[in-house]
Amino acid sequence: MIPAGLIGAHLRRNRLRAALTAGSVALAVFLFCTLQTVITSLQAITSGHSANRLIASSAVSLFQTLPLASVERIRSARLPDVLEVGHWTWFDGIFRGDPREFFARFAVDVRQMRRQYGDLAPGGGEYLLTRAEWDRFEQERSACIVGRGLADRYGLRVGDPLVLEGTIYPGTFRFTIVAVYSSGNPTYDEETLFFHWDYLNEAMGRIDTVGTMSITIRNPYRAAEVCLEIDALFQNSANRTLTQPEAAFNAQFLSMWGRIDLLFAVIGGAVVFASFMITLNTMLLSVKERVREIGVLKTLGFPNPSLFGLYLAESALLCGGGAVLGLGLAMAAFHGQPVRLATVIFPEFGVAGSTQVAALLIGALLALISGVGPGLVAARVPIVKALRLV
Amino acid sequence: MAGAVLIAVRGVTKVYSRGGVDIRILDALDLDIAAGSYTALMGPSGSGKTTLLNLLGALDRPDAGAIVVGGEDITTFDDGALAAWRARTVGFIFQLYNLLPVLRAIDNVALPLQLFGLPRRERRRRAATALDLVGLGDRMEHYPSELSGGQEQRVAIARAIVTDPTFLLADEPTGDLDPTSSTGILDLLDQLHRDLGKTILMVTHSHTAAERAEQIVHLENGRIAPGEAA
Repeated sequence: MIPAGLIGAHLRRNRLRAALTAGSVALAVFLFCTLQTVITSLQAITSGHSANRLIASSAVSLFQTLPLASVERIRSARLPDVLEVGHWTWFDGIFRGDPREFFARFAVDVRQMRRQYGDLAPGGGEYLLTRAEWDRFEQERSACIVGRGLADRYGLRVGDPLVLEGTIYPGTFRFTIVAVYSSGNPTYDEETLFFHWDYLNEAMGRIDTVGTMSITIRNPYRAAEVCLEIDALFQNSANRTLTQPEAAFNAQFLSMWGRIDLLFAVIGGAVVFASFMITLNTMLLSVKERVREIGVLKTLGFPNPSLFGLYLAESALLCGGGAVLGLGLAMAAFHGQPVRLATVIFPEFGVAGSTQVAALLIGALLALISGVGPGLVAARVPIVKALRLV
Repeated sequence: MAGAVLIAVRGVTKVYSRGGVDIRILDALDLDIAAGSYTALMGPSGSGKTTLLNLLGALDRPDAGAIVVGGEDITTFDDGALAAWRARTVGFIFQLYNLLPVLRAIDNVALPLQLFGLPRRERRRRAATALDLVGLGDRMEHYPSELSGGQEQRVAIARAIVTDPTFLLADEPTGDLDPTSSTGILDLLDQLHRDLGKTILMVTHSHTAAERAEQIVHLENGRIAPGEAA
């Protein structure tokens, strides 16, 4: 039997200390959730891609372009597992005169994009537009489409003109927004602009180069063999390719961050440990301050397990309350909206279920560890010593 | 008023180690306390009065001997059984009151009733009755810090009697009070003994307080002083 009323009475008596202790736990859990959300979002980027697509880029560097002829080379090889070959080219550029206004811009083979990622792709594709919108995008040379998030961010609407100043490709590029796409797959963001590669190529005087090639294959279980087959086509050329599954290709960008997951895990662990030390210190101080009260409770007949339970319950209330608060703050702050960190756009930056469970477990663990020690001290202290009667 | 033997102390010895030296606080002590009696325990500092009180209240264990209360040798009880025994058998009154500062007077008094599984409403009703009995019916919602020393001791007495224990142990109950408050507390103990028939064992240095008791037991060097009836 835990002495009813004492837990609340003590927390009310030391409001500031209780608030600071719970606040430290809340802050620790919030930071843990934030760091963990970055990690799970990074992992989600690599896990949600089609297993039926390969990406071929220059074997020299991701930033090295390939000749358009490479696309035709793969098509003409008539490899039995290759169904479609398209290409994407990173445009970069400056929007509204401000280099900080960053979002992804790609020049694409629209017809192929539609067959691989649009309404003509098996299963409906990742970029959702109506048939009429795809038709219009395909037919108008200066047309572009933007994602829903991008449109919301800049107040862009269908029919609006959009101008980009080229950086990699010099010049002023004027587009008309013909559609706003939404994503049918959380791995694919709604923060990108797509326009015709032909438009870019003509403006550049037909340089006929592309960034990467996107290859749809028949059987994902043969992806490794097909990668080798494609790379073999360019083995003795000046433009060797590196072909890999789409998920592995995207993982390259994450690898640029280094062992960010390990770093974040270490930081998160350190923060939680600091919070544990604070909570434990608070609870031990509480035992020291209340040793006479412990003696009185024992004198009145409250058994040792009651005293143990009293401190465990107080710790649970402080740590549990803090953990729930921290998790709540994190969930309020990150509820699945797109977020850009450095060069990576997280289409869905939200606290994953596993992170929520982990946060609550951390709260429970903190409560247990912070409560058990003081609880044992309270349970074991002899009554006469607690009452200072000796 | 005194009846059959309620508490029988037989050959109780208690030794404390201080600075590597064993000090025999109680030395094969024998003592009988009759049911319904009011006993004052006197003696110089270090004579073992408080230690004896602690042993009688099962706050501590003797190194040797037996303490039989109502036919049960409490020295054979384990910690859990002792805690339950204390809750239903003994009411404690301390020199420094030992109220919990975070609880109001009524909640302090109702606290031990939680061990009897009573609903909150019933606990508060009984606590209010006890506070009325000690003359603090109008101070129930006050915190200890809002009460005088004498009032705090009355709350402590209300807490000691609210469970209707078999006997009361009072350790210098007036030791921290002014003369007026002391008289009030001694009058209250008299009333509990006289009207409710409570068995009271009181440790005191005060002859004035001791004179209120039916019998005075003197302790010297851990034994009953010569001439005292055991």
